[in-house]
This record gives sequence, C-alpha cells and structure tokens, in this order.
Amino acid sequence: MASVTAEPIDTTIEVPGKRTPLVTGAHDYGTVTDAVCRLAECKTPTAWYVALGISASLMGMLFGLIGYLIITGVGVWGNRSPVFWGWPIVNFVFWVGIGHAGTLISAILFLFRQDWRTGINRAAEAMTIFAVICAGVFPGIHIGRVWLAYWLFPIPNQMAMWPNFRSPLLWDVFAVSTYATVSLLFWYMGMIPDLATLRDRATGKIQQFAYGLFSLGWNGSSRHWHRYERAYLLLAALAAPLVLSVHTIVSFDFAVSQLPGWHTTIFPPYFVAGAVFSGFAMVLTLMIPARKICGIEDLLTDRHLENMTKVIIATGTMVGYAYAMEFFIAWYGGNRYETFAFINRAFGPYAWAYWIMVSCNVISPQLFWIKKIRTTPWMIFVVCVFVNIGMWFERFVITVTSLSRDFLPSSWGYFRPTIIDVLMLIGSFGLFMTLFLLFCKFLPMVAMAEVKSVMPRPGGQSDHH
Amino acid sequence: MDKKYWRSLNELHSTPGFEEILHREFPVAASEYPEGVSRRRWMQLMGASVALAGVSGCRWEDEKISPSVSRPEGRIPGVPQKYATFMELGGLAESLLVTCYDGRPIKVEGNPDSPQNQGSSTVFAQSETLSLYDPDRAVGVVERKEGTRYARDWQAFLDYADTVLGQARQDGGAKLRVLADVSSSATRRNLQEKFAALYPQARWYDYTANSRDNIYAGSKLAFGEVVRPHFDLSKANIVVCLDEDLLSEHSAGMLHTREWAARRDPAAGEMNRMYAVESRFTTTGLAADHRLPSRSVDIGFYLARLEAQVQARLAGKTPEPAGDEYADKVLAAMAEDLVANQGAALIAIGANQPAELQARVHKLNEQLGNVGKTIRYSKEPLATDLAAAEALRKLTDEIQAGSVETLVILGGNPAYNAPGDIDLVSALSKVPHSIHLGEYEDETSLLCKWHLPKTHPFEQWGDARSYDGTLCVAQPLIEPLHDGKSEVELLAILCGDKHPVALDLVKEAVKGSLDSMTVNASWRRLVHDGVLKGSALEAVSPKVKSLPAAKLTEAAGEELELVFYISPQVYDGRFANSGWLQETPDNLTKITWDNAAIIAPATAKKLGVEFGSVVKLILDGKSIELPVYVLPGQAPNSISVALGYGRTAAGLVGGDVARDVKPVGENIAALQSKAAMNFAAGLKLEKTGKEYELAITQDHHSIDAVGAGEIHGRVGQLVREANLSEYKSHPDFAKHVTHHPPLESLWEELSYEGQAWGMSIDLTKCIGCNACSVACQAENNVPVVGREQVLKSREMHWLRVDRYFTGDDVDNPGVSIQPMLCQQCELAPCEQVCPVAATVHTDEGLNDMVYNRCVGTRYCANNCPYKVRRFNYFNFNKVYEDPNRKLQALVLNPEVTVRHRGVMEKCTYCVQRIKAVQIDAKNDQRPIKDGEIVTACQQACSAKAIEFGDLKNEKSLVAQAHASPRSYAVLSELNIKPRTAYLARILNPHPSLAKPDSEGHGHGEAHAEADHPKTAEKH
Amino acid sequence: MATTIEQPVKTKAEPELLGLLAEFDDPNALIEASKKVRDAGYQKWDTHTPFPLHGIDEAMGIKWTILPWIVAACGLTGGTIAIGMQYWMNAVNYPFLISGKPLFSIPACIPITFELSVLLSAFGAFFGMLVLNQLPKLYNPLFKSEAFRRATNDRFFISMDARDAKFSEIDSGEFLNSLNPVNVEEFWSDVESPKLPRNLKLALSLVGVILLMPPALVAYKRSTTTNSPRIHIVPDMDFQPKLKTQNTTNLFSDGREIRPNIKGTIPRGQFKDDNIPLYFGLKYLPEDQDVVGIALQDEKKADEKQPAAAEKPADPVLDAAAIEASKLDKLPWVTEFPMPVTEKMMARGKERYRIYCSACHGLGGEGDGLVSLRAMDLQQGTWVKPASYHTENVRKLPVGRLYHTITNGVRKMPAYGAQVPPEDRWAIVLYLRALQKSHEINADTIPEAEKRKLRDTK
Repeated sequence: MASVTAEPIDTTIEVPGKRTPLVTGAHDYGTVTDAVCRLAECKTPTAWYVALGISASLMGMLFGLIGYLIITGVGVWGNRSPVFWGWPIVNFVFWVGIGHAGTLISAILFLFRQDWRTGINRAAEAMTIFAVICAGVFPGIHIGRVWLAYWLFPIPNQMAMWPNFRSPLLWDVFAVSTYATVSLLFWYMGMIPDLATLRDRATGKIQQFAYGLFSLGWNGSSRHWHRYERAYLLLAALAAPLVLSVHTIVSFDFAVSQLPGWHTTIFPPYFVAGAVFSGFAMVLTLMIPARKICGIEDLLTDRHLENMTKVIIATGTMVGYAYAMEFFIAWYGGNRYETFAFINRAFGPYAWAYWIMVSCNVISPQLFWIKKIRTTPWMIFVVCVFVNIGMWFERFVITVTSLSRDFLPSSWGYFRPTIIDVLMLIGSFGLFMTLFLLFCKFLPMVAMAEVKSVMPRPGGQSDHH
Repeated sequence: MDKKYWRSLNELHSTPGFEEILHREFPVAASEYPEGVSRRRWMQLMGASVALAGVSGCRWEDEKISPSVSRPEGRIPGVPQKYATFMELGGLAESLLVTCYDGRPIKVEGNPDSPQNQGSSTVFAQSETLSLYDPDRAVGVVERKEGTRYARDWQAFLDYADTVLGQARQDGGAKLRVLADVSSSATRRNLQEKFAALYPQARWYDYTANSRDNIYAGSKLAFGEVVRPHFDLSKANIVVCLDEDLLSEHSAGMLHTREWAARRDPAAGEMNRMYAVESRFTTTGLAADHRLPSRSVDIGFYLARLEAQVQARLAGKTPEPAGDEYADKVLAAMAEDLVANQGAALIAIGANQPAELQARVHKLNEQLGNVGKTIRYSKEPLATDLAAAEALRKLTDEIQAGSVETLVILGGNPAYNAPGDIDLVSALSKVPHSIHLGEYEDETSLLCKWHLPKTHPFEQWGDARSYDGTLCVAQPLIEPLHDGKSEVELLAILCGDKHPVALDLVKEAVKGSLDSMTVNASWRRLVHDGVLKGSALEAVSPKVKSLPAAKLTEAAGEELELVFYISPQVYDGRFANSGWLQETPDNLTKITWDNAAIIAPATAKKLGVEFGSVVKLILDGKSIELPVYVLPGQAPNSISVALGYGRTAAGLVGGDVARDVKPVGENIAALQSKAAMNFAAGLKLEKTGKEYELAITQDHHSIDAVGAGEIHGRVGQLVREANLSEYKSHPDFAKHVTHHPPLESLWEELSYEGQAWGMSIDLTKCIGCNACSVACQAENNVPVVGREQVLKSREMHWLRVDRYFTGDDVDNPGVSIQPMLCQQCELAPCEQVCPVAATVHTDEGLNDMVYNRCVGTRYCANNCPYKVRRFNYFNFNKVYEDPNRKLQALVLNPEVTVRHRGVMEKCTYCVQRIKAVQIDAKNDQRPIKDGEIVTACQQACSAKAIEFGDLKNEKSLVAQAHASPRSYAVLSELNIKPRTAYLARILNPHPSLAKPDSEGHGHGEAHAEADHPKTAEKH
Repeated sequence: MATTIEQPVKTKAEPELLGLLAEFDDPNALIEASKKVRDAGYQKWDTHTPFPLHGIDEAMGIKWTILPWIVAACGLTGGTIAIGMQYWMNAVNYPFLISGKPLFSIPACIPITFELSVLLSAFGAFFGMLVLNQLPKLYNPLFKSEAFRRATNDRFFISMDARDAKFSEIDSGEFLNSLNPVNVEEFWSDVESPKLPRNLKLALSLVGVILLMPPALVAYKRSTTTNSPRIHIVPDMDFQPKLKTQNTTNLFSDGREIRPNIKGTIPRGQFKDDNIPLYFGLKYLPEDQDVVGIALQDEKKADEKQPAAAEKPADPVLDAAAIEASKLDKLPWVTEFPMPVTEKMMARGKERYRIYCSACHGLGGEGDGLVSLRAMDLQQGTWVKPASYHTENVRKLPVGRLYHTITNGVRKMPAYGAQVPPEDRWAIVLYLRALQKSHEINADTIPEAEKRKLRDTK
C-alpha cells in the first residue's frame, strides 16, 4: 500500500488557518488499525503480566478484607464518634470524582466538536467505568449491615416499607447507579465498530466468537452509521448533564446536612470542578505510561496531553477559588460554628492534611503555565500524581476534619485510620488497575473509527467539521 | 458446657470438667477477638460475631413457652413486680426498690419510702443487678491445700468446721479470730453476742477501707463520746465543706443533695451558698459557689484562719481587710457569711481529716449556734474502740506471733485493701485454718484455706440501718444462684446452728423495734415497705469540751502530698468486676477503666509531666507507677489517686492474673500506711519516660490552642450560667445568649395532637453524679464496650454528662456540667438524612429509632448536632452468647431490644416506660397523671433536676419548667426545636467575690435588649 | 469470481445469489459511486465503511432517523415514573413523619426525577439504535467474503441486494464494474442454513438451565409447605439474648425463665394485713398462718376408705382431710361482704362467673357445666362432680369460706387466686349468692310483669 510520507511536526503549535493533524507519523487507515490492534493481537509484553500480577493480588487483598469486614463489623475501620464517616467515604468520593473525566471528555468535548478527544476518549471512558466500580464498592460495604444494602433501593421487602426519598443518600444511590449504567452504554456503544474491526482481523476461533458476539454483527453499513451517529450524539447530550449532576448530588450528601464545613451551597460547582480536575489528572497518569507501552504515541500525541494540562490548570484554579470562597463565606456569614470549622481546617489538628491539599491542588497545577512542563510527559505525570494525592486529601479534609469537631466540644474527637483503612484504599487501586490492564489487553484502547474519521482523506479534506 | 444448668453447678463444680471450663473459658474467648489480640476485656468476650451463623444454624429457632405450674397469687407473667430491699456499704444501708420480672431482679431503684434517698439511688445500687448475674461470682465451696484448689460442698465444710471449732471451744476460742466487714445489722450483732458467749476468748475485728474513724475520734475528742453528725441542708443558708464531699461521697449524700438542690431554685425562696475547700476536685466542689483548692494537709491551716476570723467577728471586732490573695478573700467571705447566718449555716469536714480538726469544727459549729438547727447529733451505732487500720494491724501481729489458729473472714477483701505497711498477705498464709466468706474468689480467698460463696444482697434476708438510723430490711428476690450463704447464716453455723433459717434470724433480731402487739403484721409491713418509719436514731445533744487552743500552723511549703480516695466508680474495689461502673466516666476527669495520678496544671508544669506520661510515685520507700492526668482545679502540689483499682483476682472484667486478664489500673493501697490512710505529705515523684493512653470519654485528645479558644467561647452558649444578682435583674437572660435570624421553616410545620412528651434538666441542681447515666445503662440494655473501644471513642452511653471548664484561671476554674441525651428534636436533623427511614417521628413527638430497619449508614449520627447517637461498631452483646457468660444475659431488660452490630441507637425517653403507663391508663380508661411516667434517669436523680411529662398539659411540672424564664434549648438557633429544655445554672457567689455580671454569658445587657424581639425563640 | 459461479453443486438445495459486492479503496470514489447507484434508481443497496463517512448520507439519499423522538418519549416516561414512584411510596403507600416535613414536596424529588429521565432516555438511544439497525445480527452472508473483512478496516464497499427490483445479475455486475471499484464479487446464500458449533449449543443450553434454576426453586418453595422453620442467614436482632416472659432457659435446672416466689417476701402493693377480710375472707388472721393457704384435699378418697377405716381407725388420709376440714371450719370467716355491694359489682360477678366458673358449675350453679357433663359421659373415674350451690351445706357456708374456696380451691377444683383478683372473687361470690337466692324463690310470688321481663331477658 502506498505509504503517505510526512515530516515530523510539532503538533503542540496551532498555526492559524492551518489545521494541525491529530495523527502524526506516516499513517493511513490501515496502519492506524494495525497500531491499535497490535496489543490485542501480538504477543503480550511481560511488563503487562507483571503489572497485572501485582494489581490482581492487591485486588485479592481488597476482597479478602471485605470478607473480614463483613464477618467482624465496621469497627475494624478507624470510624468513631464523632467521625462516623471515615476513609471509606473519602475513597468513595475520590473514585467517583476520578470517574468524571471519561464521560466528560467523550460527551462534552464531543458536543463541542473537539476532535482531539478521539485519541483519548476510549481509554478515558474505560477509566470512568472502572473508577465508578471502585467507588461503588465503598458505600456498599460501608453500611453497618451490608446484607441489607438492598433496602436502599425501592424494592418490595418483607417490611412492606419504602426508602426515604428525602435523603441525599438515596439521591446518591440513583445518581451513581444511573451514571454507571449510562457511562457503560456510552462506552460500549462507542466500541461496537472497533470490536467489529477486531472480529474481522481475529484469527483464533475464541477471539472471533467473542468479538463477533460483542460487535453484534456490525457491518459498517452507512445506514447503520447514520443512526449510530445520531444515537451517539444523543447519548453524549444526555451524558453531559449527567456528569454534572452526579457529583452535584454526591456533594448534596454533605451540603444538605447541617454540619459546619459541609453545610455550604458552593459544594456542587466546587465538587464538579474538582471531579473534572482529578479525572483529567488520572487520565494523564494512566495514558502517559500506557501510550508508551502500547506504542500509540502517534494517535495520542503530545498535543492531546497538552490540551488536557490546560483543562487541569483551569479546573485547578477553580478549585483554588472554591477553597478561598469557603473561607470568605465562613467569615462573612458570621456563624461562629461555620467560622470555626474553617479556621480549624487550616490551623487545627488536621492542618497538615489541609496544607497538603492546598499545595497539591492549587499550587502544583500552576506549573502547567510553563510550556516546557506542559510538553514533557514525565513532568506532566509527576504533577498529575500530586494532583491525585491532593484530591484524595480534599475529600479527607471535607469529610474527616469537619466531622471531628462539630457543635458540642464535649464530643470532639480525633480520627485515626486503622491498617484496614489503608490496605483497603490500596486494594481499590489494585481493583482499578486490574480492570484497566485487562481493558488495554483485550479491547481497542483508541477509538479507531473516530480517529480515522478525523484523519485527512487520501483526497485531502477530512471528515467532521 | 452450655447445656449445664447454672443452679446445678454446685453438683457440677467438683467434676474435672468444670475445672477445665474455668481455664478454657478465657482462651476460647480470646481466639474470637476480631484483631486476634489477646488480653482484651469485653472485646475478647465479644469477638467476631460471624454474621452468617445464626444461634441455631441458618434457620429460625422456634421459641418454647414454659409457664409456671402453680402461679403465685398476684403474679402475672411479664408484669414486673417491685420488692423493697437494701444494699449495705460501709455499714450503712441504702434502701432500694427492685423491679423483678418473672421473679428475676432486672432494675434497681431507690425506695421512695426511705427518708434518706426518697426514690433516688447511687451508681453502686444501680449496678447491683449486673453483679448479681456476674458469671465470675464464686460458684461453690472451695478448699485450698498446698496451693491446689479442690471444689467441695457445704457438708464438707460443716464437717471441717465441727472439728476446727470443736478444738476452739476447748480453749474458749483463744486462738479464734473473726475479721468482718463493718455492718449495722442487728441480726449480726445478736449472733456476734452468741458467738462471744460461745467463744469468750475469741476476738472480733471490724475492717473497712472506707473507715470513718477520724469522725469517731473527733467527736470523742470534742464531746467525750462518739456521736454521729446529721446535717440539714434545707435549713442551711451557708454550707462550708472542708475536704468533704457532702453531696455525693458522704453516706447521706443523696439526702444532702436533695435538700441542697431544693435550696437552689432562685424562683423559690432564698438560695443557699456553698463553699468548698478541698484538695481534689469533688462533686461538691463542682457544685459549690466558691471553691478554694488546697492541699489536704493545709486544711488545718485554713480552718485555723477561718476560726480566727470568725472569733474576731463574733467578738464584734471589725475584721482586718482581706488580702488580695484569692484564698484570703474566700476565707473572709466565708467568715462573714457564717457569722451573718448563725444558726443557719453549717461546716462539714471530711472523714479523711484528723481528729483534732474534726473536734474544732464541732466547736466552731457550736459557737455559731448551728448545732440543733442545721446540725443534730445522734449516737454512733458503728463506733468501735479499735480503728479499722489498727484492728487490721493487731490481727496481723497476732498471726505473726502465732496466736491465731482459726481465722474467719466475713466479707470484705482485706488481703487486697490492707494498707502497705500491714503485711496481711504473708500473715494469712501462716494461719492454719483460714475461712473466707465472699461473693468472689478474690485476693483474700486465694490466701485462705477455705472459700465459702457469699450470697448477693438480693439473694438474702438481712437488716441494717441507714445513715439516719432508719431500720431497713432486705428480702431475697431470687433463690441463691451459686449455692451461697449469707453472713448471718454462716455466723449461725459457727454458733452451732447447722441449718439456720435467715428469715427467722432476722425477724427475731428486729422484733425489738416492732409493735409487740401485732408482730407478724408489722413485720410483714416492714418487709413490704423495706424501711421502718420513725426508727431513726434519736438525737443527743452533747456539749463540746474545752479543746486545746488551735495552734496556727503555717501552710507547709511546696512539699508534694498524696491523697487517697475511695473511687466513685468501683468503691473500695468490690465493684471492680462491674463493666457498667468501670466504664462510667469519672464526673471530672472522664477517665474510664483506670485510675491515674491527678495533678494540677501548675504542678504538672513544675514537674515537667503531662497528660498520659507515666510517673513513679514514691512514698517512704514504697513506689507505684501511674499515668498522669492533669486536672484544672486540682490543688497545687497535691496528687490524688483513687483506691479500688489494680484488682488481681476480680474476674474477667476487673482483672484476673490467673486467667491472664490484666488488672484495671494500679492498687494504690500499697502506698497507704496505718499512719497515713487518707493522705500523706512528703511524696516524691519520678518521671519514667513511659507513656500510657488513658481511656477518657471527653477531650479524646489534648485540645490544641485553636480548639481550646473556641471551646472557651462556646461554653457560655451551651451551658448558660449567671449569678443570682444578674438573674434577679434579668431573669430571662438565658434566652438572649445566642443571636440568630427569626427561626422559620420553609414548609408548614405539623402540630402534635395528644401528648407531647418533653423533658427539662435544671443545671442549677445537677451535680453531675452519673447516677442518671448508669440508671439509663441498666434500663436500656446499653452495652459495655471496654477500654480499647473507649479509646476509639465508641462508648455507648445514651446519656452522657458533659463537663466544661470555665473561667480563665486553670488552677481554679469553674465547671459547667450538662447531662446530654437525645433532645428529641421536633424537626430532627437525623431523620431527613436516613435513606431507609429507620428513624422517624411519632405523633407524640418522639424521635423513634427503628433498630430492625436500620442498615447503619451512620448518616444520622453525622447530622446530629448533639452527637448523642451511638453506633454498634461490633456486636457489643456477644458476651451474652458465650455459653460461659450466659448468666449475664439475665440482667437484660426484657422490655428493651438488645441491639445487634451495625445498628444505630440512642435515648428514647424510655419509650418502654411511656408505653407501659399508656397501656395501664388505657385499660382503666383514665388520662395519664403528671409524674406517672418516670424515666430511668429522672428516677435515679437525687437532686430532682430532671422532669419529664406532657408539654401539652400546662400544669405538668415539665411544662412549667419549659415556661420558666431560665429555660433554654441548646443549639435552638438551628431551628430543630428540641423537646428537652435546660434551665440555666444560677450561681450564688458572695458579693465580694462575684465577677461582673456581663461575664455570666456571651455579651452585655444592652446588646441583649437591643435585639430582644428578633432573637426571641419560639417556645 | 468466475470460480464462485462455476462452483459444482453438491446438494439438491440450490445456493441462491443474494447480491453483489463492489470494493473501493478510496472513500471519495465510494461517494461518487454511491451517487451513481442512487441515480441509477436502485433501492435495496448499501455502502459499508470503516468509519462514518462524511457526505455519504446525501450521496445515498438516506432519510432522517426517528431515533430522537424515541429518546424523547423514553425520557418523559422516566420522569413520570420517578415522580409517580416518589409520591406513591412516600406520601400514599407508606407515609412517615420525617423532620416535620411535608410528605411530598417537589424540590426533594428533582434529583431522582432527573436521573431516571436520563437513564431511560439513554436506554432509548442505545436500544432504539440497535432495533432500528436490526442488530444484533450475528450471521450475515457478507461476512463470508474474505475481502469484506476489510470493511471495518480500510476498504469501502457497495453491497447490492439481489431482491432489488432493478437487480439483474449481468447488468448490475456491469454497472458496478463501471464505477471502477478495486473489484466486484457476488455473495451467495448458504447451501444449508448455518449451524452453531455443537459445544457452543451445549454451553448455551447449560447456561439457560442454570439461569432457570433460581426461579424454578422459588416457584417450588412458594407452592409447597415444609415443617422446618424458615431459613434465616443473618440472625441480626431476631434472636435476643434477653429472656422474655415464660421463655425457656438452660440456666436454671427447671428450664424455666420464671423464678418462683420466695416464701415470706412481699412485693409492693401486696401488703394484705391492712384489709384481711378483703384478701382472706377472714375477720382476723389466726396465729397459724399456714391454715390460711389450705385447699381441702379430696374427701372422696377418704369416703372410699371408710370400710378399711373401720379396721384401721387411724387412717392418715382420712385424718388429714378431716383435720384440715375441721381446721377450716374453725376459722373466723367473714359473713358480710368486705366492700359495698353494688349493681356494678353484681354485673361484674355475673360476667366473671360465666367466664371462670360456669364451664364446670353450669350457668345456674347446679354443677352441670359442659365440662362436667362431658366428663360424666366419658365416665372419668377421677372426676368429681362439682358441687351444686343449692345444697343445704353450701348455702350455709359463710361468704368468707366461699371466697376462700375460690382462692385456694377445694378437692379437684384448682385455686383461682392467681387468675382472679380479689375484688372479682368477691363479685363472683356475690353473684353466687344471688344464684342461690334465685333458687329459693317461689315463682308464684313474682309479679307477672317481672316474670315477662325475665322471660324476655333470657
């Protein structure tokens, strides 16, 4: 096949009037397919096995601990009075937050016709699903009587009783489960054509069958494509507000209560911004090594990375603004309990957590103003790791610090995590990584069809304007 | 094992199987502990409650019903009956009314007919049901030979006794000794005489760790005869306590509290004023209007100065102006008040102070004309010619001299309580025939040849006299669980009566005080009432002899002193195995499951020690290591340590080294000496560098500057206080402490038809004695969680007593006490956040907790501004499932659900009691009378600080309390409309010592007036 | 392709031609070609591309899909369901008071309503797309073509359906070739309909069976009965360590939770000395307390022993009975009711009598209660016919003695002290006296009116 020769170009520079290609290197449709399918078809690198081994064992530990927890009681955690919600909820909010970038990148960037999303959306969506799975684990096992968790759903039960729809927790149940379902559909639907590609290239019987089954007999018919695009657009249009709603509702868990430090109206926007922030950071943390290992730098170019860093600066700054605003309102509101809640955050026994949060979330992203850092993958990686840490601490500060000192000083306490808390957090990362590695191996990491559609046609002009 | 019958253990306990169980018991439990850590107390017994294994496999167990064959008249199954009885501590009876459910005691309350407590009760009494069903109680007769333990039965002992006593009779019992816990039982005295007649040479010694010998000696010194002072606080305008806890630790504490509290209502007549001069912070000091921290050794010094000033004023001399020292001011004020209120004041001095001071206080009272008005004297029935410690030493010496063949120890645990300089332990092992009658196989039993199981107070007939001398009779409420015999029964046996009938013995003994015409009827009346009306000791009016002139000693410098005191939780250690009491936080230090060296902040700084650092206390050679607790208000240079801890053979709760259960705390008795039973100067203190985490239920961690500042700012709003003068000028000051916009809901609030239950707590009367807390625990099956869980602040008390230090002076702070329980908010924040509607509102305004609906999200607890919701992090009731601890389950109130792990729980206003009364009322179709429903906490309160009832009925006491100008609701600015109101605390300081009014609460008057209309709360 | 046509036929079932497949390697070429095909007036044809090709819709003249309307409909349904559910569940079916808030309020409903609308719309979009595209369709003759495999990779195809009106094997073939594709091929139907691999069938059917098991089990359990108690995996709070009334326990050797009263103890409210007549039916208590509790033993036995007694004068049984009887006779029974006698009391007595006594003693007190009659029928040797109240010696018994009998029982009659409170016992005694009176009255002395009234009030 005649190969299109292209001189290397710095895609991170936007030349006015000229469209910068989203795919670098000498690529035509065929080679794109080859590049993406390589991991699925060729021999697996040992690195993958090693990584899977580690994360799978961590996952095993998580499930072991869950068993122990269910047999023994939630007392094995550090939760206590007055900090009745400890690490499990922190982890839950953290993971739900991570689970935002994916759908957001796909949906909102899609609606805004941001073609550069095509390189990353598949992996990002996958990450969303897995993060939401991790998130889902915690509230489930967090309740005192796990075996009755189904009472949280409006299912007829022996008490002939229904849940209390005034409770933010119930809103949360609906929000998160809806979000998980819709994200899954969105992800899977996007994958159907690519699964078909894998099916048609597959040699082994089992692959053929499996891919054949899940690609639902897709044959690339243009009439299908027509409805498919319509549906995809609609899903995107639905997912976009959904993304915003989910973390809004998660923030209601706190904002609707009357606890000083929780009871603030700024939470919804602040949580959403935070979620996007942490989500993008996590995408980068995953993709930077992934694109190297899978050799898809040409499809997932520096420009993709840089655009994401820009989003991170923006959201990071919003989060910083939110922190500042909380303090202002606390002071301006003149409620002694609110005021103290925030003074206590910054200067109380948990000051250390607060300042870790601030330095990681507000200060470190500002480094991205420097182009050098924006365009050097490993530097981006380092900053993003810090952002992830910072966002975990944000949830810790909100949950634990506020609870530890509320209205009556007599009940003030100091929360200390147990080893179980720590191991479970680590275990949840194991679960996440396991799923992600399996995804990298067996599913198309990049949306081939979409990438092709934004590639210059042999004739010159490209699709999607 | 669990198939064995408890009542049949006496047959069983001789089998090797039983021995095996005794030793297996602990390891079994240990292996169940979730974190696999051994040597935990309740947690070890609790263990991992395997959620997937039911009591009987995986199926519902079918409950069998087995009614009694011939039901006794007047007994309806499941309808509780109340029996009058009493418990005796230190020879003084506390008359009780015990609720029995199907013939099983389940709840203790004070006897309303008793002039002493009038229905209220102490924490010790409350916990008696728990100790009755304590599985660690001794189960049978035991003989020890060369260190090995043989289970015997009573017959074996009788045979043994025959031989031993047979020999004793030969020489008139010259080598026979009896060491007994003090008692005021007439029955015992009868038998004592019989015994003396039988063994003329034998000697009888009384011993108690909580002796009142100084009082005896003092009055002997003052009057030449031993008399017992009785205080009438209802008549006293001025009360001065010198190292004396008149309100709680005094044997008539409940009476004093009631009378004192009656004089603390500013709306009802003149308020009294109380001064306290004391070393350690006592309940009285906490309730006092003025408190002067002083080392116990310096009390004499202050007394002398007080005398001097009083004399001067009496002599009409104008007193020299008081110095700037706080102490001077207080003494001056004291003297002024005392003189101004002659005949309406009283001075009380602690039993720990030496005889001379006691005498001088008698004198002072006489001079001030208080005797016969606020103080009356009566004979002292308990007086002994030998002081307790003296008796113990004498006995020990006799043993050492080999002049004791047979020693009978009736009750008590001398081997444990004996002061350090009396080596009873080694002496006991020298006695050829030693017999100990006790409820537990305790330290003493281990040293004796024979241990005999003693009946619990609720298992025996008995009689005793309360502090005012009222005759009390105890009736057994249940057959002895452990084949025990009561003290009188054993005495009768020793006097040759093989099969004594306690009922007859007691009846015989009290016959004298009964109406001779209708003995039977009046006996039955006595048994029914529990007390004999009008049997109080008749007053005597002794005159004080001339005393040696008081030499004005100087306050003895900087020397450290060590103060020993009887623990308000475990008394002299006899309650060490009671989980309820061990977990009851001390009302000031909030320490549970430990005793500590309590040190003043200044002293701590000087010594360079801080909270939790372990120090070595050295007193003439002997030393003991204890963790430090820095208590504001503790007298500088005075270190106080509670007695009663460090039991080594108490049981699985209190510590049992034999079974590898660590003792709770340290036994400080080792530092006591006959010379210094109460306090001793010349204490040396060494730092060990070690750290120890004390399990405290408040300030779980040392509060940082930020927090401390905030607390200081908040307390004024939470616990609202003012001086009498301010109250007079501005009665509803409490309503304007906080400022907030008008409280309006976004929706139409529902109004309640029918009754609207509410509660009020008068902070002026509350002295924070914890009785309510333990009563609640007993009534509502509140579990004990153990030290490790308290450290994780997972204690379960539905009713906790919050303690805040106020004022700027850490060395002499004020203390604000606030009982905190579910406030039953009408707009309860906890309800709206529960996803499964496990906590909902009744139409009577109760905030119900539906245990079996709760899935344990704990969201409600997060949203509760009072943090009164408690969560079962583990199955804290696992202990009842352990076959070897099953007996404990009998203490559970059948009317209240026992909560499983993973469930939230909280105060319900004793809804089971409300329902019980409602059902009765409905049956006889009448309205519920006010005061008919009494919550457990209200019942126990000796100060009558708690009122409960229907807010809809304006005439009800609680409605009136809510209407009082002093009433306010904590955090009412959150618009949650609590049903519990607090009545602001009014202090009555001496004008010369009063702080400016504006400090009474957050801000100045003008301010309050300014936004008066806006801040008015809905009530 | 020629080869495919000349392929020798093995089976009688002729493989039929389904259509033609034209392959292009350039999207633009495809678009151009499509335009021609469209203009040629073909209806049943399609193009296949590895990615949505811009401009192909116009080129092929594809009509606008109705998917958006489906989605909208689903969304509305979701919202309605959400609101309806929340209203019905919290305000209608199981209302509860929560923080004093109204049972139903729109603001609290918004989040869940939103979520459910989105959820159902999403389902609409996804499944709507599948349905409209007639997917999943795992078997497609096109897939048999080797070349077509690249349709999802980098090649572009036009497929023409043989069922098209204008379709004719030759012309259409030429027409397609005229669009200068890379090549053109035909695709045929299978000789026999395609078969699933055998082990796959097995696997699927196995899965099916497994999936069917739970519902089958449930159905079975629901339709049958069993003696073993329900399965109960987590005990939670259903098994309480506390002992409720009349429970069994292994703590006490009698296996009962109920403990007996202890002799001599007196619970609150049971001090009786202040009203001895009421509680004991005696004027005053004799010194020997035990007498009070005596229930006369069966004298009948004694009677049987009469002849024997003649030989052995000192017969313990007889003596015991006799002695006790004499003891009771000596007691100072009250002869007057210890409380005011009222209509109410009489009514109460009648009611209680009918509940507790009539079963044996009969409504009229002749001792002809149902129980008694039946016992007689069965000729129960041990049964003692209840005494009739209308015998002389019962008539002359003082009320106190009657009360005592009810309280402590006599002969076979058990004690009713535990079940009937003292006031009611007295009420019964009162009614009993009334019964006796009623038997002494001579009917003629009653005025007609009264008689009629009595007849009416049965």
